[in-house]
Amino acid sequence: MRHSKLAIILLLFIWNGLLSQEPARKLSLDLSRATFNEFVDQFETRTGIRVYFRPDWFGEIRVDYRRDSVTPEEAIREVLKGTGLHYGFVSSSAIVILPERRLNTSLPEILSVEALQGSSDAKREYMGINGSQYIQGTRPEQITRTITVGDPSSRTSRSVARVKGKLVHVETGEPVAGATMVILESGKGGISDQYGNVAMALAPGRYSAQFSFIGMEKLNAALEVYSDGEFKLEMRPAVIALNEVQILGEQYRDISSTDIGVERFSMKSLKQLPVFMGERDVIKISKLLPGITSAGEASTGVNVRGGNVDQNIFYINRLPVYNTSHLFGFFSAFNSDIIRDFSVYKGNVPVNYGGRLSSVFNILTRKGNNKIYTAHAGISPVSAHLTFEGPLRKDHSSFIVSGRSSYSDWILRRIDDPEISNSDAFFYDVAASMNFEPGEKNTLQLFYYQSFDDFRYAELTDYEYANRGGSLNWSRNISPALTSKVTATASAYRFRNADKSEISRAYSHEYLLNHNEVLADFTWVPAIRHSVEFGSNLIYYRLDRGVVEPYGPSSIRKRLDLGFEHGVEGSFFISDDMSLLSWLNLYGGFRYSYYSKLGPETVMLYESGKPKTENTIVDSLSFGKFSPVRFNSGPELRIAMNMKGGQNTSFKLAFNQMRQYLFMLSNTVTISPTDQWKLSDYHIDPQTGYQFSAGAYHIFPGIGVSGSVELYYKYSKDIVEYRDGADFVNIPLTETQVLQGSQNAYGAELMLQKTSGRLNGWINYTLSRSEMLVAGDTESESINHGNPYPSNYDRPHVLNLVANYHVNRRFSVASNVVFMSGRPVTFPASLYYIKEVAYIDYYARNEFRVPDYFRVDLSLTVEGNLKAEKLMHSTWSFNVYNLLGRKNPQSIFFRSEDFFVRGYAFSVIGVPVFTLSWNVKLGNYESN
Amino acid sequence: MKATRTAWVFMVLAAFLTACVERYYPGNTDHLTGILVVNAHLTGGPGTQTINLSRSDGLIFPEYKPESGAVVQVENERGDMINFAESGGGDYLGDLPDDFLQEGGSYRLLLITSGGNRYESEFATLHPALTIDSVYYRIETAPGDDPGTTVEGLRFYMDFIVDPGADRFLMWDVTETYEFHNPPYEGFIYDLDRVLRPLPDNMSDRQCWITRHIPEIFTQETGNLAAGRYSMKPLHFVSNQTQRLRHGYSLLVRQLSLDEAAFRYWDNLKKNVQEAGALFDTQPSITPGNICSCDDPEERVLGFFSVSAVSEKRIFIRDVEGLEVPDRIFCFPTFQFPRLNYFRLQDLPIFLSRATWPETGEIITGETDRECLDCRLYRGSSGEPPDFWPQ
Repeated sequence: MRHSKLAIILLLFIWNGLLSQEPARKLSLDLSRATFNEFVDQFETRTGIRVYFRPDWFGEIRVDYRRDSVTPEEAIREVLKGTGLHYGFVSSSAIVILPERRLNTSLPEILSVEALQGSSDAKREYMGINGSQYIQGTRPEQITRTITVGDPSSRTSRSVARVKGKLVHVETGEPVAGATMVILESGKGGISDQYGNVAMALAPGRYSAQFSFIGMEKLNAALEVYSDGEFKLEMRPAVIALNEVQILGEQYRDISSTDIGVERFSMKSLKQLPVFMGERDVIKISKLLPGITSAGEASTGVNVRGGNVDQNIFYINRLPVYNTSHLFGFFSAFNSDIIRDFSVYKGNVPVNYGGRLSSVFNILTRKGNNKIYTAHAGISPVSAHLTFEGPLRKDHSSFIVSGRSSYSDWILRRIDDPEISNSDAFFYDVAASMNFEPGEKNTLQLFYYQSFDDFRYAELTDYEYANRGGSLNWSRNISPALTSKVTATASAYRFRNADKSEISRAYSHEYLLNHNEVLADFTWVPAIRHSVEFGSNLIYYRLDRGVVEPYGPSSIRKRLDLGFEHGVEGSFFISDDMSLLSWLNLYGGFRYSYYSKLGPETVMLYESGKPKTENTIVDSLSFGKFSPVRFNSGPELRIAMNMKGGQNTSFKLAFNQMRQYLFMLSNTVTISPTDQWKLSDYHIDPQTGYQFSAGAYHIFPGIGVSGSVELYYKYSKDIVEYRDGADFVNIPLTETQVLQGSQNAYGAELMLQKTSGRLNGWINYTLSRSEMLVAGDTESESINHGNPYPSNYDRPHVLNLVANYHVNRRFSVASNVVFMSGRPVTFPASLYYIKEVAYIDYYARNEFRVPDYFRVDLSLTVEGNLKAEKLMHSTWSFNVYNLLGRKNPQSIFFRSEDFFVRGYAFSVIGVPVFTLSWNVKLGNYESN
Repeated sequence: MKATRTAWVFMVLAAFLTACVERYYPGNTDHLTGILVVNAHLTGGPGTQTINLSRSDGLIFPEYKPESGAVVQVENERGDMINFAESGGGDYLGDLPDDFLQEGGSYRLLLITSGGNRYESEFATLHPALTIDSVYYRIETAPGDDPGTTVEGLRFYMDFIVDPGADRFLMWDVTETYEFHNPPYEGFIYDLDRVLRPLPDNMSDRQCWITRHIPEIFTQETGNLAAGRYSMKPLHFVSNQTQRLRHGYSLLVRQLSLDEAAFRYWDNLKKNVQEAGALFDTQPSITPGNICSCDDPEERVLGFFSVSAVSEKRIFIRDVEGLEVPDRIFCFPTFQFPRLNYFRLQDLPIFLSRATWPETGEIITGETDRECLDCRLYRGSSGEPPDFWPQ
């Protein structure tokens, strides 16, 4: 035993040198169902090379091998393929066959352990064996190791062991979420959750496992499973090498999981993309993905697969954020410094999410570095940001604090509308989180977030809005098979505005929404290829719709209290993800959600069969405190299926049901900061929807390109639309102002992405339609005369190209090209005169379109030098937004000017916008 | 030439520096033209009332298309009917007896077009008037026609008293009258006899009074207001770049009390044509009126029939202190040589004028618009001062 180990180490040392001495003799072999011994006999006879091996490793392996004129090495490699065994030349006439992972276990592991200590010597060694002071442009040698799970002495009779791993970042101790663990022998895999946990049920035995994640070194390890157990694995960030840059996507995941209509990003992987005004922005980036668009440049929120803006929920560490924009959508309210990664679910939404019809944006923040104190900062023409992080207790707990604030009205001065350029704006956001690991089995995260916006629109209107909230996430490994996650969140969104356009009717209005939620979520891995998730959540909503109050001494506005709303929403959910066959994966999810609006409330009753107006009120109902005003509940099925068509291809189908119990009151085309969220009530039904989706995914091996086609059809009903001239500030009876209709959306999304090489990026094309139908009993209860019409954000053709070219390690060029069909707009049907003034007759809604949108952005990123020993590393980026200066109209409108009606096109950014921004961090190029 | 080049340079600069809001030409989108348009707003008080009928037209080269040959009647709830007689240009005039329109009374419009199609409106109720407290102005600056420029002028305001017991829906109809002077250029006429003659007296008038309806809708709902004085309701803006504020300006504000349906119609119309293009755009309203076809319920009729009581206020302004009204050159004869040899017969007569170019003292004789020699030809113009004009 001892001898064999020594032999292995020796072998390892002479390994590389000897490989080059491979003999050039050629041979021909013709073997059918031969034993390995027979193969070796023939091989040795024809080449004169001795093969050393243990026959019991081969057992009943049969060799089918017919080849002419192959080198001995090719022959042996091809025969050993798939056996998990490895070979090596120990001399030009001797080959040793050994189990692969045994070969190079120990030595690289020692190296990696030293690197972990953080000593500069070890680090230097890690970066380059010869102590080079520059970071090398190639990956370090692949580091392999053995992971032992369970107790080797246990003689369990169980056929399945539950293996649970925790993947963490080697430098910061942060969990690595979304990483894949693949058992190479079976092709089975698992994906780590937001706490870095990956779980799998495996029969005891020895496996080869591969761990990978965007921007991380791929890690191979031998996995020795004896019984139930856990392991922890530190993953190392990949030094971005010229020939391997990963931007997006985990290709394995696309092929193997039942995820359909899911997009995932690591923030780090998006570093080089062009940005607007020097502000990196997850929401802007998401708009470059298929199926996600917005009504315009300055518009809050996104439209996902033909759904309304209020059909999306944004979570940051599971904290819901109700207004995700700064400055009306020019920027997102999330500082990218603190974001680790984000996912968008737009197709099949996992059962633990619900409450919105179109999508869930799940943003996760970084954990603070639990080893050293470090900081990032940056400045752009608009804002400055700073992040500080470090250990609270080394290796155990950490904190991270990040803040961003605007300091100039630079952007407003660029907008050629005198009222906007005479306006003032200010915004900030802060986020902080603390992470603890009390004991081996628990992780605890405390998170706080706040954003604030203040905007003075000329002398006419003041807007102010803010999000604020906190979340507590507690994750516990109850047993290797069972994990629990408990989350408690409290989120508040408020706005205040003052309309000062006429002093006598000037008013101010303040609105507040509270969302308090508890969520418990359990994951159970009972068997091989089988994982069950179940749990429940409960939300308490409290909406203070506010008081409209006279503003200023001259105002004779009546005080109007729009009242409070209370409601509870909850759910129970369970899902089962399992592999039925090697090529078939099923995800079956069931969520049952319920909702009740709670009193106190007085509900007006209207004459039946007549439009609901103030004049048709016949009676009223009173509800006491906490008594249910209306109870709604319903099942939400989430079913998905993955059929693999080979190693690199898969097909997926999904059916998804969603229910939504609150919506936004907005009569504007884009969301304004005074739009109120409103609960479904006695009169207004909850919105429900379902979606069918299908997808095909393929990886083109070797060239780093993957492609997908996804198709969807989505039908939603009780979508809230607004009567002409709807008013939510003067009229507290919302049901008299809204109408409900149905929405049909369908589309095809094509995506090609290249994730490696000097040139990488993606291109996607989406063909889609989104149509509304509001057909009431009378003309006044219908929109567009009861005929279907395109929704305001219907964009049939969208093409996005994102390309990133690394000239060298310090310099990269990136470009976005965006083409979209113009959004629908209502054009005049005819013109008529009353008292010599021209008026417009509008008839068909959204029948025409604004001109198509086309934009090219460019960015140059220059990194500081690559010295390994430096205090700080800085990056300059130069961005041009709308390089061609194309005036892409956001809206087209018509005004009556005396005898004529004139059309105008309003484009928000009609010129190229050049920005230079500077970011700096402590540490070197590689530091996190 | 020099002037042209300067203008060109300026235009190019303007295009580069600004133009986030640009003119947009929608192409041919019209497909629902020729719809009957009714403007029938009867106001309390004695006198002749006008109902106007026309047809809607396309957006690109719009024309006013009067509807003639129709039978127009207004009926009260007791069945009394008043006929309106056609007077040309789509106008139908009716003399209402003093006691026909009464507060609280209900009225409707009945129409038969020359094609024999019958239309009728819903009943509209006459609401009593609230009084206007005062109409006044302030010197303000407003954005000029060229982006980035501003002009000085007067913004008119009014105060009115809000009475929560009375009507909730107000609309104002504003009419301006101003004295207008044509430049003192010598005028000539070149007619079929092919002799250039000085303009005869009956064909020239240099002092006129122009009356125009302000093409803006002003509305206010008072349901959300408490009792008291509503001050500074903004009306229109008059810049100092025209002659309006130079020789005398009179403003008539008529306050109409509408019922809710009429108010919503006009308020939505106002939002459609005056308030479009704000930062947060709204969908234009589809504004159905209250007139329908008796024969074809699907047929659309534009416009609205309404009745209301009226209160009025007129103010007169001359020589506003603190506001300079520059004397602008206008109606200057064209610099081109008169095309006396190249006219077509149907172009005759051609009008010319002779003026001195102030910068050089050069005397220019050139073609000119006839309105520049006879201001009575401007729209809404009269050679005689109106009765209310101060001497």
